[in-house]
Amino acid sequence: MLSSYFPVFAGRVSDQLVRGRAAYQIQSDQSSLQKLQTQLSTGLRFQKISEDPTAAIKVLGLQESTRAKQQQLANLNSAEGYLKTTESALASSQDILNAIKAIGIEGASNLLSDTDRDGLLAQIDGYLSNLASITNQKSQDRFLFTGGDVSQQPISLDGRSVRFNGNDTDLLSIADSNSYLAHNVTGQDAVGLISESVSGVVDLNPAVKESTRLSDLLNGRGIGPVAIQLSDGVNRETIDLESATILGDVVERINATSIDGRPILATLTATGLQIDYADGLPGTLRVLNVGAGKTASDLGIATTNAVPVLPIVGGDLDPIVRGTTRLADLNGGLGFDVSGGLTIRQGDKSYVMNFAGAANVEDLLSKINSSGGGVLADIAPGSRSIRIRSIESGTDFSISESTGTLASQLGLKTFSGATRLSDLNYGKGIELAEGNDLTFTRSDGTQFGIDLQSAVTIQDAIELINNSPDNADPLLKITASLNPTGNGLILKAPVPIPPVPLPDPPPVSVPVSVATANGSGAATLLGLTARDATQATGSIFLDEFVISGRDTNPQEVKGAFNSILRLRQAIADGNTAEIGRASEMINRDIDRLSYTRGSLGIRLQRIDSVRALTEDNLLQLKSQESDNRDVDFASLVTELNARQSAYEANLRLLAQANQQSIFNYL
Amino acid sequence: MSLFGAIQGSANALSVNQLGLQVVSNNIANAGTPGYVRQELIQASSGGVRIGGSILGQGVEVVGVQQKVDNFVLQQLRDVQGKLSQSQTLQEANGQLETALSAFSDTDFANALSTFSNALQDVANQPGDAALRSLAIQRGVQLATGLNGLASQVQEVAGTANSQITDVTKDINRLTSSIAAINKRIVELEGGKSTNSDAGALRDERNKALDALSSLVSIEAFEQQSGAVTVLVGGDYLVADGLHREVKTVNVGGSLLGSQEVRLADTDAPLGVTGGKLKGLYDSRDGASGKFLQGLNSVARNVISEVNRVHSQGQGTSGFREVIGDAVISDVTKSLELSGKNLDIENGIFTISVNDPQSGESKSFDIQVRQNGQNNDTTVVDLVSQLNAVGGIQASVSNDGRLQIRSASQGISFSFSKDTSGVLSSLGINTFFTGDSAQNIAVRSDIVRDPSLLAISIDGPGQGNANAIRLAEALSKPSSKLNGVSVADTYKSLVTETSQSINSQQSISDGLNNFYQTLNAKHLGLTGVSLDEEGIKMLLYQRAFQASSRVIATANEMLNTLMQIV
Repeated sequence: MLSSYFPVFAGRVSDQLVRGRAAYQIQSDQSSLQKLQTQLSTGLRFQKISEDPTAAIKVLGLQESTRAKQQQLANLNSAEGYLKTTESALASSQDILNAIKAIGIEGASNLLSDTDRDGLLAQIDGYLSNLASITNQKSQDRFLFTGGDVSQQPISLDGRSVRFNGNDTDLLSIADSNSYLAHNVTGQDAVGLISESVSGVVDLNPAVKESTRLSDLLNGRGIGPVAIQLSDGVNRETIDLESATILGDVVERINATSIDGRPILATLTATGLQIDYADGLPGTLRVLNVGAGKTASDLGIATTNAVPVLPIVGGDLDPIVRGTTRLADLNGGLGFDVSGGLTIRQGDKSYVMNFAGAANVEDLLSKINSSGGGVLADIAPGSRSIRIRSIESGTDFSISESTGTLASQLGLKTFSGATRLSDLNYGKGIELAEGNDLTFTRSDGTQFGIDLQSAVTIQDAIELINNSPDNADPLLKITASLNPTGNGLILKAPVPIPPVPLPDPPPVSVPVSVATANGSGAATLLGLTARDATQATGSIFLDEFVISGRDTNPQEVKGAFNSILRLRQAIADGNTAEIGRASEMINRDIDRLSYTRGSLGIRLQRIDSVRALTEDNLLQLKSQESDNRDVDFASLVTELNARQSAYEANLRLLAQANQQSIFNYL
Repeated sequence: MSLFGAIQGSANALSVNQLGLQVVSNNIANAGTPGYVRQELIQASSGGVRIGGSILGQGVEVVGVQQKVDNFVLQQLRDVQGKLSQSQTLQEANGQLETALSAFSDTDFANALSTFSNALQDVANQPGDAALRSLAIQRGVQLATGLNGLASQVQEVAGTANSQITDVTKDINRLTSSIAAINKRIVELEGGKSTNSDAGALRDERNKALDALSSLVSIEAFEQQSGAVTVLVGGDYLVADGLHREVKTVNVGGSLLGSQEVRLADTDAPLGVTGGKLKGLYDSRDGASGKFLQGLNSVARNVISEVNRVHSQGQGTSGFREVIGDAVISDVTKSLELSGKNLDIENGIFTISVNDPQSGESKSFDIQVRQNGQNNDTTVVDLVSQLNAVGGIQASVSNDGRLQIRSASQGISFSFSKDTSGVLSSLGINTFFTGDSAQNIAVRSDIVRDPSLLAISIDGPGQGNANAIRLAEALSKPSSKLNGVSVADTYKSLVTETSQSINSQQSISDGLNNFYQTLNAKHLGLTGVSLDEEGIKMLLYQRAFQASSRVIATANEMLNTLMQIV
């Protein structure tokens, strides 16, 4: 602050000094008054940062936070708008499902006339198209239920099936610093439009390559490459891996190292690293962590023995599968034979996937996704296997071999040895009887029975049949196996060759057959007999009797559209069992909707509470800004008065003092 | 004989007292003249004559007229004036810089940062709204032009300093030539007399010129025996006796903010300036403005690199058919980081995805960027050949040294993701901002033309809004590249630094001003006219005149008495 006076030296005082000093004081009084007036009229302590840097910088920070909070409020309001619209769409969907549930109950009656049935079907059609419109509802810029691809209409309805075109990406907005909020509900969460995944149980086990990212190792947990240390027991060399991003970098850096003049050689096996002296001669070589780091351990090459066996073979680095992983690198570097392709059945349509030209996993997925088969193929969570999900509601869906064994190799076959019997028939399982469930008739007319009580999987059932002590005669043996093309079981038995000369009476020769025993549902539900038959007879193919079973493990989308379409079909067919199943599924759809609406409610509550908090915060920020920037009017006015008095006194003094002079008395 | 002596002595006294009155009248007349140094009549008793055994005085005589000034205080005052003038010049420039910052207003740059981030959050809120995307891009443009504007205002402040330097040069020449001319006349008039200040008016004029010169440039001035003043600046003399040396302004180049320098015209040596307005101008241009611009450029580079790093990994609502890098590659055979200016490229990988809508297939390829400081580090040539191996796209380096990637056939589009190397943002591929300083930062023209290129997704073109969120946070979240602070923080610390230095400069100025006023009071107290004092002197001369007249009358009466005896 400029002082408003300067000291007077003892000594001579000249008129110029007196005048100059007075003028200076008046000037400084006026400038102070100006400043106070500015403060008074703006209500602010300072206009420029330099006037009070400490407070001003604080104010700048507070203003920045204020703007961020204001935007967060805008985000919350925007999210609330969408979520409320979504909530009302979900409420309408639930009303529709409740109405359809009532139709289901009505449709289950045995006393329906054709007119009644047509009426119900017409009602279902109406509700179906209503639900489709709700699911395809657009609000402002986006389709509500389409996931991330907001300009993509979520579903297309072709009368018999509904296909989902969206995805299950959440749209986030910033609710608070480092806190996000999804402002959409995916079609899947709303009405269920994607089937449960058919995930490959097979670990694709990609081999490590020089190009493998370090962050992909250890099943995606990655390793933080800091440094490792090599030692021959006497000398130590530290290898800095700070900027290494791929295994190739690690190999290269190790290879650039020598200990006591002996170069080190690092190579990659299919699963990890291998380290030795480049000259291959014996010696001591230890790999150690550096300090508290664990890079060497993470890389699987840390040695614990004082004299490790050379070469040091590192542990399995377990890299994850990426879209760019080469097919040839899967399966521990052995690759998969993809030439056989896959067959996907969607309702009565078959889609044969041909993977010619596919080099990496993404090619494979891309070919499946673009096949038109109504499926979504991607890398399963955990990134060690592939999964395929159906996005078509209202139809059965299955994956089977095309001409090779790829589906089995990738673990994608929907009807395989590992399939559990309890999962068959849309999860209903098999109703077994007391005692035998199946009766087989051999080509010599003799019969044997099989009790499936102990079987858990299809493979168990196959083994029970094939290993039955009653089914040991190789000439008469009925062998069960999985159908190599398509899904289902296949039974085979040799066609007996009539002995020459033909004995008399000639041996009995009948076609082999399988039949239901003791009223068990096994034969039908394993797909060995037709739905409404109790027996299936083999037909001769070359020198064998063959009974080809049906696929009794169809997959479907578990969702509202599927349930409604199934119900519609069941009512049209008068299939009460299926009506019951569909009604059950609708109940689950209603449950899912309730759950989704519940969690949506929680999200809306969170918006309310975060908003209240943000508004409080904003108030606090404003009040802090005011504390730092606004003037204290009481003290300002007091100061202004004091300054004015000083100013007046100065003027008075100047005027009076200047009147005195020696010339007045001469 | 002694009666005549007494008459003669008194007659001398009469004329001395008249002279005294004249000096008083001159002082009174100049009581209000700025820069006037009061004068005093120096009088002495005339030497005696031996008459008999006694030596009798012969009255009074005038020694000279002397200016009452303390040269030590004057030199001190000039020193402080030089420093004050330097400090005030700097303060003025700082004030202009602070005005340019326009803190607390709507045009504040911190506000532009928030507005840009907020607009991106709006995009995240409504990713399907094309108008909001355009708005966010416009906010980006505002951010860029805000920086451009700030930079050009700083340049303007520096430009003003440069043109003032030219003016100061002219003033220095004018003042030194006038001092030299006055020197000559003072020597002629005073002729080296001991009182050394007979030529009062000329001396006043010379003092004023020296004062003016010392406020322009720090000087050392000392008076010679002859009455001439020698003026030195940084050890080089500018004025000696009746001669002066011209100075000139030279543009020495090498600075963005211009580099006018004052040099001696004859030797072309820079004037050694340690204070004064000229030093203030140098300081404000090279120090205040230069430092601020440097800080601003680094903020701009941070904005560019942080936003671009995020943007280059995202995708717009559609893929690219063609993309041309901003960075100019000077050597395609050098490792990427060394292939051009200011490239920040690390060992890493990025993914390029090629999408063929006809087959519905999308193919991704990892492109390795090796920067291990080894011989096999990736070069631009390597990069181009890796990209060309992808299929569906063609990469090349244009004649003007830019990486360009085109889809090989109609319909095929491509996008980028997961770049851990920073190569995309460094080479200006799929970036948001172009440029490398506050002057030239701009939003990429193709994004301004086609808002669908604003990369708001990270899972593929049109898939979600995750990158919009990351972009919104790019400027406000701590960055590992900036030692754990955010871009907004770097700007805030620039503002803090600038305002703190303005504030402390203000304190220095105030302190100097107080000191100056104190010294000036001392100077004015000594040199200024006091009317009361002059009134008293006037009485004294008047009474002395009356007494001397009475002595003459008495001597005359005594002579008359003698004459009557005859």
